Amino acid sequence: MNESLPFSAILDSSVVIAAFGGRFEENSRICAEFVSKMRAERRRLWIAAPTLAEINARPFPTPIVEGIAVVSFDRPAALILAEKMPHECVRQFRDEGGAPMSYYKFDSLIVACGLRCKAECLVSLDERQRHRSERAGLKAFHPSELADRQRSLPFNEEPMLKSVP
Amino acid sequence: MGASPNKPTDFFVEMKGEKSSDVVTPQTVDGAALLQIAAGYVDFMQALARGEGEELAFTGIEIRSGSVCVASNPSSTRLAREYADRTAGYLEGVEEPPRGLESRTHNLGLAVKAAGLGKLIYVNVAGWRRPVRIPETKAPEVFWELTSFRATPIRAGGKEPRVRFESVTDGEFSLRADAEIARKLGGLLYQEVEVTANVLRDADGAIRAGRVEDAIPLAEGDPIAAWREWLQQAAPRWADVDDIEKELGRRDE
Repeated sequence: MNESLPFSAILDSSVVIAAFGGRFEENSRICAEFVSKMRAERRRLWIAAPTLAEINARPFPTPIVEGIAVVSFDRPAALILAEKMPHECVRQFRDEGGAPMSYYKFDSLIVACGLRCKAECLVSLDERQRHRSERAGLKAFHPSELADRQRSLPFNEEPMLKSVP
Repeated sequence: MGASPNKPTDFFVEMKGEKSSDVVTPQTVDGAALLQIAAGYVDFMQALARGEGEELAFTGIEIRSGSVCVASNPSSTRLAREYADRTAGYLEGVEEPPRGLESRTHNLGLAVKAAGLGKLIYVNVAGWRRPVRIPETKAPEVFWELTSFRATPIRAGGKEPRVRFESVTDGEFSLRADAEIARKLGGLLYQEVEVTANVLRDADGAIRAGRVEDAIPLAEGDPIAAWREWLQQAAPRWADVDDIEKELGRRDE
C-alpha cells in the first residue's frame, strides 16, 4: 500500500483537464501520474458535477466506471457550501484574488462537493484554490506532493472500496 | 433468560435523558414504558420481515445500564438493521407503513410518546444507531430531492419492492423501486452502481425515504481511458489549450 496516497480525493477542474486532456506538458504528466497511482492502489477519485460545467463539457454522458465517480452538488452539498463558504466569503476570495466572481463560485462548489463526499483531500494545481479549500476544512495538495512515494502524509484510515472485486 | 456472556447482543432499544439532569438508570427507568417500546419495536420489525417473506428471530434479553437498554440477539444483523431503520422511518411519518401495519405503527408511536418528556429513545444494531422520534405534527418542510450517487445494493425484494443500499457518501438506506429496477438490482448485489433517485433526507442529511428512478452498472474497462475519451468528445477545446489555469480564468496575465 502506498502510504503517501489518500484513500480518496476530489480532483479540481484543472487536474481533470490536465490528467485526462492528453497534452504532454509537465502538469499533465504529473496529474496523469497521480491519477494512475490512485487507481493502481484502488483509491477513489471524485469529480465534482460543477467541474463538468466549468470545463464547459458538451452533453456527452460521463463514464460510469469503477473508482472515478461524479459527485452531485446536492442539498447536503448546498448546506455545506452555505456553512463553510457563504456568499460573503466567496466575495472575499474575489476581492483577494481579483479573478471573476464565477471562478470563485465554481471553486467553492467544488470544495463543497469534496466535503460532501467526504474526500480526504482536494487535489489542485492552483495554489490559491488549495488555500481556500484548507480554509473550508478540506485538506488540499498539489498532485506532485501526493505522487511522491517517498513522502508520508498523515491521512486518516478509511475502508477500501467495497466494490472492487 | 440472559444473553450468553460470550455473545454481545446486537440489537437494543435505548432510553436516555435528554439533559444531564434527566439521567435514566436501571433503578429509575420507567420499566413498563421501556419494555413496551422494546417489545413493540421487535414485534414491528418481525411483522415487516414476515410481510416480505423473511424470518427475523430474536433470542435472549438483557438489561444494560449506561443509559438503559433492552437488548436481544437478532437472527440476522443485516435484516435487523434494515427493519429497525425502516420502522423508525414509519414512526417518524416520512413514509406510510405497509398495509396491515398501520395499527402497529400507531401503538408503537403511543408507547414511544408514553416514555415522557425529556426522554430520548434510540434503536441500535451492531454499531448502527438511529433516534426514534415521534413528531407532534407532520413535518411542515419536506424536501424531496432528485440526485445521483454511487451505492452498493445489498438487498432487493419484497412484495412492495425495496432496495437496501450502502454508500460511501450516505451510509445505509432503503429506497422503493419498481419491480423491474428491483429485479435488475437484485442481479447486481454487492456491486457498486450509479443510482438516480428521488430521496427524502432528515435534518442531519441522512436519507430516510425515496424511490430509485434508475440504476446503471459500472462499465467494464479502464476507467482512466474512459475519462480521457469522454474529455476528448465532450470538451475537445482543451486539447489546444496551453495554460489550463489561465483558460479557466484563474490567471489574468
